[in-house]
Amino acid sequence: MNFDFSENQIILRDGARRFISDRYNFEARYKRLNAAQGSDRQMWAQFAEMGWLAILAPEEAGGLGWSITEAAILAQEFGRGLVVEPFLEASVLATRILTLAGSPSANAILTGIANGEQLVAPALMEVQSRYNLNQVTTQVDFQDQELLVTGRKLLVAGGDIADFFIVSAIAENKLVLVLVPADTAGVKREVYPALDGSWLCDVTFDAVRLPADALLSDENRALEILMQASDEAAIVAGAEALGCMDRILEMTAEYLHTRKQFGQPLAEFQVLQHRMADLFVETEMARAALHSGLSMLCANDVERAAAVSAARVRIDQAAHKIGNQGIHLHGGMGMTIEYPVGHYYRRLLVLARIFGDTDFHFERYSNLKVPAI
Amino acid sequence: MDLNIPPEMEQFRMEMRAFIREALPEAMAQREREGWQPSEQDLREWMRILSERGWSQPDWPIEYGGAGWTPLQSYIFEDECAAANAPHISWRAGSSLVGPVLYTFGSEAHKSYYLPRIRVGQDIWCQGFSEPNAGSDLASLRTTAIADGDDYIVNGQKIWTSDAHIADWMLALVRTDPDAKPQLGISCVIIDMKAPGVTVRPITTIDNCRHVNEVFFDNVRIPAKNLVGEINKGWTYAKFLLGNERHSNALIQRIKREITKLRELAVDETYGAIFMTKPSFRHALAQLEIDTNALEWAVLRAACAHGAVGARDMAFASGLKIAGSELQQRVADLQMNIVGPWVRPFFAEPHQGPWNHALPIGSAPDTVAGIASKSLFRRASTIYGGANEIQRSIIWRSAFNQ
Repeated sequence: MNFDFSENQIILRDGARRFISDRYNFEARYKRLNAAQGSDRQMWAQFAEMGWLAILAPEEAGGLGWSITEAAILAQEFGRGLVVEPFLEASVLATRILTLAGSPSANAILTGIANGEQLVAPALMEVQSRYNLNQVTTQVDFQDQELLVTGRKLLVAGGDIADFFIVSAIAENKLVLVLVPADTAGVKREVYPALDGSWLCDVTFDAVRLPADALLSDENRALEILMQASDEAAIVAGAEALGCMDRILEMTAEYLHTRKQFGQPLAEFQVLQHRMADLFVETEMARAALHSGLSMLCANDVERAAAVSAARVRIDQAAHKIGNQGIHLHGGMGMTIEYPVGHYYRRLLVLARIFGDTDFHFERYSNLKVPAI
Repeated sequence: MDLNIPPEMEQFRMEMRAFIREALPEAMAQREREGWQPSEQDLREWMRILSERGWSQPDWPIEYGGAGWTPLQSYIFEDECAAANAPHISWRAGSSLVGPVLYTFGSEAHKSYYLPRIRVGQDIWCQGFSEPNAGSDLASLRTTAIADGDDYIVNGQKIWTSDAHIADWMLALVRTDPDAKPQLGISCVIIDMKAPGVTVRPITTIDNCRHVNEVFFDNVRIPAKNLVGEINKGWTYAKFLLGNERHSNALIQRIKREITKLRELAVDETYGAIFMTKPSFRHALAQLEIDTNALEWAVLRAACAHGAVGARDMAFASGLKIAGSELQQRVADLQMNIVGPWVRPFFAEPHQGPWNHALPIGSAPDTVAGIASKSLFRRASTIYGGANEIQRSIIWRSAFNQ
């Protein structure tokens, strides 16, 4: 066991940090997002050039075959930089679903994801499903040698520029995963801006006709695949939240040292020093929770689910406190849209509500580890 | 970063578990299980038993009798010791404080005389830091050591001294230069607790037990060779210790053991076995476990850290102390929720003091006494080892004010 970054991990981290300070600093980002009409495919292509979209894909599919730990290290930098690109969904989640599915149609598209040529957006959520991946009504019917997909998916990140959707659906009473090309007849997207500066869409599938090989997984494994990939993505989202928290603490400390009231910097007030100390402890406990989650991703389903949920609860609770206090300690400045801390708060709100929220994970942990008798 | 726990560690854990099951006397485990402090005899005897395997001071360098384990192995060993209710010897002054100070700053004579005696349980040590007017503000300590020929003459008073009543030696911070700035005139000396002029007076704590003492020095003569390291460098050594204590103050293994006990109490018929049906209890237990799991991984990170202790490590160590002490209190509080109405009868520590009467009293479950006693003593965890407010100031200075 080793908590120090390897040489490769340092290169990965430093490369991302440099990229963000050169091309993704707060002012540039703010300008770009204000002018945007949707997700930015050119930025996505730059991510591909950096090799970031290939991290998790297996080597035989043209990927680097690295682990979730590397994805988490990168996501932490994305958190620091307030990156809005759909890395969690269209890279981590999509790559892991397809890798775990392992079918020929899945393998074929992994290469395209890794080199950035194909953007694949998981479209899993429906109006009644919230975070439950098996609460799905989208229907797949078999007709001759074809599949017929009908249903509506919500909050699809990167969906506006996606080339494919990974759609969860019910076929003959079982959950299945289907790969749907976005330009197929009957696919309709409604695009809208998201709280964190990214873009989402709802996607309607109206009797969309697909060849049989669009079926991604053996029907008995779909839920298992989705739950594992979603747990992995939940941990990477936690890493991104940690990056946000680290940055909030840095900028808040800077502010306390600069801002003067009553003739002295705010940093001289012990009540604020101790508040910052408590936030430091929260952040370190969140980092530890992240490590714990990462270490358990290869455990059996029950242990993995419990560990991921425990980690996410701890991270999300810390994120809530740090986001909230980050704004508070900046006073009125923290409330302004020009100042970064509020944007971190907004991204943290989102990160604590994808792949499960605090309630979802608390309940899942409780049911697995503290069952009622 | 590689966060997988190597599979051979599970084997190591099983070996340790088997060894402890075999080696730990049941009476010792029983006292610990019930929530009482180990007796003097327990401390000496468990140290002796472990020393036969070379495991009584696993974290010391090998040349001074350490086990040569990886940090993870030491962690697992401590985990198994706690789970088996072994006396907590690694936390006492000799293991965690005196050993590291002596093998780092002591003379060859100090190392060859004192270290083996600690290792085999022959000598118990206490730490003479706090004074009536130097608690959290340690640098204002006033006990003096004045050179007199080849000796020093020590006068003054220490307080809150754990184990002074059973200790053979004290490692004390004393003022050797009254004119220097507070931090610069302090030295580190070894005091024989049986020397003429040393008086130990008990302080009975709110659990009716004797953990701590007042120690008075009235013209106590100590030879110059009892000076540890250089004169007037004591503060530097004390700060080194703080850095050395990267994680042990969190007591994570003990918190885990107390959670196991909490879970047992929750389904214990004596208390109605109703707690796992209560949503409020299940919620509190889940949150406690989630927080404890995070602390455990934070402690593992601290334990595996190597190289020079930087400012951020200092902040991190203080964070572990805060988080650990708060969790120790929370788990005790939840145990007390289960104790419920049985908290009302007064139970005395059965192993010491004049209150020696048989347990149980009346119809109360016989586990109540130790739980209540421990919960009372746990109030001290946010105070000792640098009160949590001192830790917060250290965090601010180290992490945000460099």
